[in-house]
Amino acid sequence: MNNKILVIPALALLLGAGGCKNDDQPTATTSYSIPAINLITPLDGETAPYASQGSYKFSYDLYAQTVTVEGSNLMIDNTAQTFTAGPVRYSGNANEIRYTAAEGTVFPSSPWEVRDFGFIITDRVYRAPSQFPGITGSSAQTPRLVMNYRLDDKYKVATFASETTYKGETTTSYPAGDGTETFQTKDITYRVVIDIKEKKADVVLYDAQFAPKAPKLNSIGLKGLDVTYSDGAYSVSGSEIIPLVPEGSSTTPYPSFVFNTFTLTTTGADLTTVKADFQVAGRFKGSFAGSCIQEQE
Amino acid sequence: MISTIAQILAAVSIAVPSDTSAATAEAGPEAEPADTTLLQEVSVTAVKQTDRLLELPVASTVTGRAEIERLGVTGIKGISDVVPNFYMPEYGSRITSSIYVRGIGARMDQPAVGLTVDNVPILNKDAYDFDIPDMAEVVMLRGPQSTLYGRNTIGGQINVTTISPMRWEGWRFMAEAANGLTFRINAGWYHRFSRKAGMSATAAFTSSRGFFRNAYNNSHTDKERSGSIRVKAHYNPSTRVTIQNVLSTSVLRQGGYPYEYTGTGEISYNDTCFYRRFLLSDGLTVRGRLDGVELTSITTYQYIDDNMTLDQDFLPLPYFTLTQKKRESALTEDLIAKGTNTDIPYRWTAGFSGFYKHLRMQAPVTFKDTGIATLIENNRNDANPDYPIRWDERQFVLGSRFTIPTWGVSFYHESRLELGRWHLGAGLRLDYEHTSMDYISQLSTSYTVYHSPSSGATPELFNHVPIDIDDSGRLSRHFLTLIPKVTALFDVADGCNVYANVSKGYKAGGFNTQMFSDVLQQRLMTQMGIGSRYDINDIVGYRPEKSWNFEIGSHLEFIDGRLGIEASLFYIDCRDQQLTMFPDGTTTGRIMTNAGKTRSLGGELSVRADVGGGVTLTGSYGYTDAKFRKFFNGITSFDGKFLPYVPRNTLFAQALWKLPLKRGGWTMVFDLNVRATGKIYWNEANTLSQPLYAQLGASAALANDKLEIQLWGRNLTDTRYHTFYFMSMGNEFLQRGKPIQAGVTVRLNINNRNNKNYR
Repeated sequence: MNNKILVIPALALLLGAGGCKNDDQPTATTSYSIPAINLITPLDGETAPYASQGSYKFSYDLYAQTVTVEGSNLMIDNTAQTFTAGPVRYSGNANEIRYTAAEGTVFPSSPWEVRDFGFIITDRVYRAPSQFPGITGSSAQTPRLVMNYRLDDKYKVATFASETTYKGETTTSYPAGDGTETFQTKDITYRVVIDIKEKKADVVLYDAQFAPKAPKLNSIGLKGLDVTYSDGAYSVSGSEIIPLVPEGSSTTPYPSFVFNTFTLTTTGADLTTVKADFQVAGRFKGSFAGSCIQEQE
Repeated sequence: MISTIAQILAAVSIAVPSDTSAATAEAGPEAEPADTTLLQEVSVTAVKQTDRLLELPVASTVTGRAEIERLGVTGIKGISDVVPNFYMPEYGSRITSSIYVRGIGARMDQPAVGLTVDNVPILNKDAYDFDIPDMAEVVMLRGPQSTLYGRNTIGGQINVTTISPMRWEGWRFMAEAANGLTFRINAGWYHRFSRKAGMSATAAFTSSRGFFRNAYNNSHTDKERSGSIRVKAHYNPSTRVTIQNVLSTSVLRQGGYPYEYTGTGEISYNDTCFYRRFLLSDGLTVRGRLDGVELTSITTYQYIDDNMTLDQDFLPLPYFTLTQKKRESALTEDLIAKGTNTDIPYRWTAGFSGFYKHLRMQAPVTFKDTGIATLIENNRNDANPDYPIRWDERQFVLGSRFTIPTWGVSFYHESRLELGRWHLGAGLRLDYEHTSMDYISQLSTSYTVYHSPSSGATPELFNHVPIDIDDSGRLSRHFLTLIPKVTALFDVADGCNVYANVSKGYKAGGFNTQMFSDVLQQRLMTQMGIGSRYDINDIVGYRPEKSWNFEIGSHLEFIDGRLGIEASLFYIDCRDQQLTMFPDGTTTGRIMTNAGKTRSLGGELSVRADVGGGVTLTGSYGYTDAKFRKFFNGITSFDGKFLPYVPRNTLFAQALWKLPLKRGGWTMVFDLNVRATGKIYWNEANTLSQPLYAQLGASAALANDKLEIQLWGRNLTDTRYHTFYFMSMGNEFLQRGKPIQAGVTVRLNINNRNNKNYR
């Protein structure tokens, strides 16, 4: 899959007359499916949130510039469910297709009505600078589907990908002399690869540097972190993790850079922003806030 | 016999038959020009300029033959300080031809000042520093000369002309001995077969033991031997056509790099250092005069083959060495048309020029035991002491090879209109240049990772890591620019004028080949999990440097020319100035970077006064205030700081006394001079500097029309000063300037035709 799937509907927006379809016009359609992990939060206040692999099919009517979204493999009560929303009129460009339902819009579907529906299919995502031995991740990061909706008032659903790369600002404080000094950098990239079946995650930090004169590690991997879900969010965490550093085609443990703690948690309803807190080697206390979506240029 | 051979050589050299029929009782060549007068035949200065230099709106200094010999000038370095605001320090080896003019300069890659020698434009700055025997004059035009002379003349233009066999005939010999076991020998033969043809051949040899010792092995670091041959041929098939061909070649063998480590104050390094160079150039100039138009074609070929080998750490430890070998061939063509109709108040010059040069270079860096241990293993093992590494072999090579073809074409025009006492001028050049680089970077080595299961236990083999890097690629750049200039000159009185000019300067962009070893090191470190990723396309290229020069000045002559004054004030606004930076950390590369914005302002004053009694006083002073307006190197802002390596002041003052003796046509010539340079900041932060320093020089010569015996001395007060500073791997190095020098020079000129001696 590549961003051609964005270009075709975007071209329709650019070229089409739009909105005045009648029976005399020929039909031009295109469709594709995007896999996504659904973070499902039951709203009964009792059942714990959980994640499952799902898929969304987008069917475009290029003349009408509308799209119909069909969700499948939505695991509710251990049963794969489907729903349909649309057709709705989308907007966007070659990098992004989006739709946000007007407040109060309800898409009738069986067995639930779909409410507060909206999505973005975007190519503006950060990518991992390189692969990491032993952490393969998903080969189909892009385009990324960011989708949120409710099923009646029973379930809240947000999508995320099995592999996501985040960039932002990392701030580290470390002992220096009699006090503490602070180091800030926007160079560090965080890549998170989640295995929802095992509820485990691997995290790779690229260009990791925690003090001005500390060595810059090209990439370090934290393997086997725990994944937990909460109300509309997921977290990746672990303690006393010995990171791995690639050397040649394999990796070498770096006990001197032990991560005493590491926690990364999503901060927004659309699961595109995260914050992270960590402590390295008992000395470096770091925090990170970033996003997987690049700013619009 | 010699004459016959010479005729054959002359015919071959200029590819036309020589006419010896008139080589009988013709009058000798015209009288010797004065020191500051131009040889008009085919020098590029005369070809391109529309008028006498003193009548043009340009700051210039012409150093004549007598002054060149008196000061012991052997190449363009010798006019440093003599030309105000012109500074060409002596450090490293002759590949290091750094030139600074008015705050504009460069230590590597593209030169800031253009150089022609007998009309051959030297394209590679690595070939700027060589001995040029029998120079007739050196013309230095200050400020951008890009409209007429093209790329890389952003700071000025130097045109060197050697003695012509059409001006002087006979044999010229020179022998010199000085301290530092320095010897120089020149021999020149100048012959005019007829009014139409002439030829000269000049050979020179220099040997010097040098002044500085390497404490590691007690050898001299700055020893040098060089030799050169030049064959110059003239042929005038008619009164309207002049053909000149100059074939030059030189060989250089040089030790190198008397860099003292500031930590010990010693020059001490263990690995071999040398610089070897072979130069070959040929320039064919054909000049034809039509009614109202003069057409000139200058076709040149130049070739450089050199090898710079360095102990790159300059410490007595086996860190790493660099060998940079290159071969470059270049062809240039300059077609110039110039209006010569003196009946109308309009002068013009127009031209087309093109060049092609092809550079092949390899620059392997060899990492040795200490370098591997200190720069690689220690860094890696400090980061991960539980899994230490050890390199499998204690030496490996970071290999880099480049092929860089570059070509360019340009069209230019300059007009000058006389409106009474006003002379208004304008010029424009359209310049296009394309350069590309094919690179191959290779590294093949390996190391082993060990692991100690517990403290004190024998390390066990954990992993074996082979490293094989074989990168190749092609980068290309092209540059298109318009280079305008406007000038105005007002004749205040006969011999006195004031002028103003606004001109754009242009220095080409290029590639940082020096960074490739660093890129490769980072690739190596990256494979070890440490280090930064470089985007070669971003870091290896640098952009052209452009400047606007605003200048006012004046040429004044009083008392029948016995008092001459030249003054100029300038302001240069420079964008993307190319500066050499040493990257932070333990990297070994240098990088040419475009330093945001800089500005330079200053002035120059030159005075020459014949005060009578055979005494002439000469002085030139240059002041430059060159600062960063905006420069952020990614870590620190240097806004408002002085540009490094640029001297704030240059001063040359000279008193000359010619005392004719009563017997034998002998004359005593006494010369006392002083050169001063500084203050020079060594770094962008302006925390290190060389204060203003002065060097006293003197000479006394006894001469008649054939023989001259000169005793001379330079830096007579043995002033200690430094000409260069740099940091490598966090270590600071300085090069000390040459100590006191003294010697004797004997010149013997034997005239064939009893013409006026060219002494």
